[in-house]
Amino acid sequence: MVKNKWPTRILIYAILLVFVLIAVYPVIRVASISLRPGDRLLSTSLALIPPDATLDNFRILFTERPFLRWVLNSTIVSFAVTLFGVALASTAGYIISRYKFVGRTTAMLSILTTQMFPATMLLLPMYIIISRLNLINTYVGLIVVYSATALPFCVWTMKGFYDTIPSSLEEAAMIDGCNRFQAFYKVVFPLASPALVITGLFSFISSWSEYLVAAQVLQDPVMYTLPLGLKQFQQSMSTEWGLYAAGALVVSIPVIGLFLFANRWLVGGLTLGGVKE
Amino acid sequence: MAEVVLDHVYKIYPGDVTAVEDVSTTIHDKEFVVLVGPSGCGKSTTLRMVAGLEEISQGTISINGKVVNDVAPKDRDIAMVFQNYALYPHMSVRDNMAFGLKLRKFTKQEIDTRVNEAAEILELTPLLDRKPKALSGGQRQRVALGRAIVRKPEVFLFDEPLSNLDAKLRNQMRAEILRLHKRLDATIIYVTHDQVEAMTMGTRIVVMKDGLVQQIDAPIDLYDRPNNHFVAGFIGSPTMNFVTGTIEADEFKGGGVQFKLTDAQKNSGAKGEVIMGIRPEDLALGDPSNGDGTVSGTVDIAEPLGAETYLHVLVGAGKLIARVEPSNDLDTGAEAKLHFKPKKTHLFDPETSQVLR
Repeated sequence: MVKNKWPTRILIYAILLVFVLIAVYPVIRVASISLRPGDRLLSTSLALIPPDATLDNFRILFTERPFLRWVLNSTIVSFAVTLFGVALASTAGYIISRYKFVGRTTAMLSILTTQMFPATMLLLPMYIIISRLNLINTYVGLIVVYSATALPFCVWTMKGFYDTIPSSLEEAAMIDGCNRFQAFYKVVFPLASPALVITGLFSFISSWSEYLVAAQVLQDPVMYTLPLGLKQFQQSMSTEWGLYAAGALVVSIPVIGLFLFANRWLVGGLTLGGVKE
Repeated sequence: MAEVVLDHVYKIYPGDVTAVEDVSTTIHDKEFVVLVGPSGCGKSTTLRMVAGLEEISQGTISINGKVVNDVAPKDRDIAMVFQNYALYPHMSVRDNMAFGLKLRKFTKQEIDTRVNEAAEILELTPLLDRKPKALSGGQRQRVALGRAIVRKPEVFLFDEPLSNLDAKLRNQMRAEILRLHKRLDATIIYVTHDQVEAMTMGTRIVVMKDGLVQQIDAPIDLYDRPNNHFVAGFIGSPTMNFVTGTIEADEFKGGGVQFKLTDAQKNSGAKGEVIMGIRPEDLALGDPSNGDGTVSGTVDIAEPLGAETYLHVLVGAGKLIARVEPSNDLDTGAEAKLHFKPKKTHLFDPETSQVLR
């Protein structure tokens, strides 16, 4: 790598810093608001930590509101969707990558085609299906819809990744004593971990932060997921901005944590060295 | 012990593409059989059918007297070494070698003994805890070998195992595999496109082209008595020289070459237009002795290799390569007179390309 001279490096860092500020500023704002007593959204003070900073908003959030219940709802739904997403996409992607069967191309293209429709367009038909299935106000209803919308992307990601794993690895495993399924889960599956992490994260985040579908399927506040719950703080007359901000911060923590945790599996090149390209 | 029998084996892909056509041969116990041919000749497909990685369209393959057409690869008691090594990247060298044994529920002690023994033979002991990506090409190929030998299978299958290595390493590994064959007393089926590998390693060679077996013979018989034009041209380097000509009154004439047919050639029924073949080392410079065939032309280029010189000689419409003593001063443009023993020539029917003898 070419070592840059220090004036160039300063310039690079300065530009990067500007982008970081643009990205981080809203988060800092939200953090600042969450620390203000009352609902002082439009304070003109530039202080990041207000002089009368308080954690009251967080206390109220956890003790006086059904926030923990929403966390539970979101967790159940998101984990179920992630589990389904990874389990189904990892197997479906494998079949599509490795086997030639009648309707394979059609299946792949129709999976892709579903991605062309904007989510809002699907709201009405989806609502009708879910209500006919009597799944309104249930976890299952939400899980079904989220899985269905996340799967196409996940299947394609997995298929694309499997395509890069040479089939001679499975053949070697099968000669070594595996049956087809063992060759898949003992050899291919561990190698696909970067793609599994990506599909897992995608499934989790898309359901964790989804609002529109949840607003249709869930009508009972007890069943609310976090995005719906947060929206409750915003009412027609007044909005509890402090609580809103505190909630928003708490909601984003698991996502950030997950990213940091999953980071090490996202590093590619795991298959490096097994075969000669 | 381990005998592999291929009986009228076909591989026909959808769309009526025939990759392997009517291959029949018996590979005896402890034999080292090499399948050789240009790419796309069906040699790898044949090997993969023996391994159970490809379905057999027609015919039967049996190992040890048992028909294995419908037996899963894992139950055929074979081990295979792949061209691209196919090591499991997420496992250490030790685990790569132990994988097959673990699946077969060997005791931990037995696994350790076998892995250590194989590592010893292949000089992999210091590398046992490394991952494949931390190994060089030659080391990876040795691990792949190790993974095969710890299993102590009835039959070893090699699918072009050396083609990804550089020339020096290839020679080294060639010797290593030959040593292993002697040491393990195993039946080996080895696929390669490299005729030098085939000649030096095989106890018997199967030459294939376009899915068809051309000839099955010991290396030296293949070299001395090729069945047809293809085998004659494929085996040997530099390749055999071919000259088209006609036979009149028991004498071959064409492309500047002429000689009197041997008695055997006369009796073979060779007449009219034929293709004559002669190996470069059978052409000599100097004065012909009585009964020798002769050919003269001009030197195109001379390639001195040190121990010998390849002389490219332009004759008639074509070119011949002669392998001659290094101490000659013939250079481009010089006149070259070559002679040869008629019994060293091969005659081929231009229509069927079969040998006439």
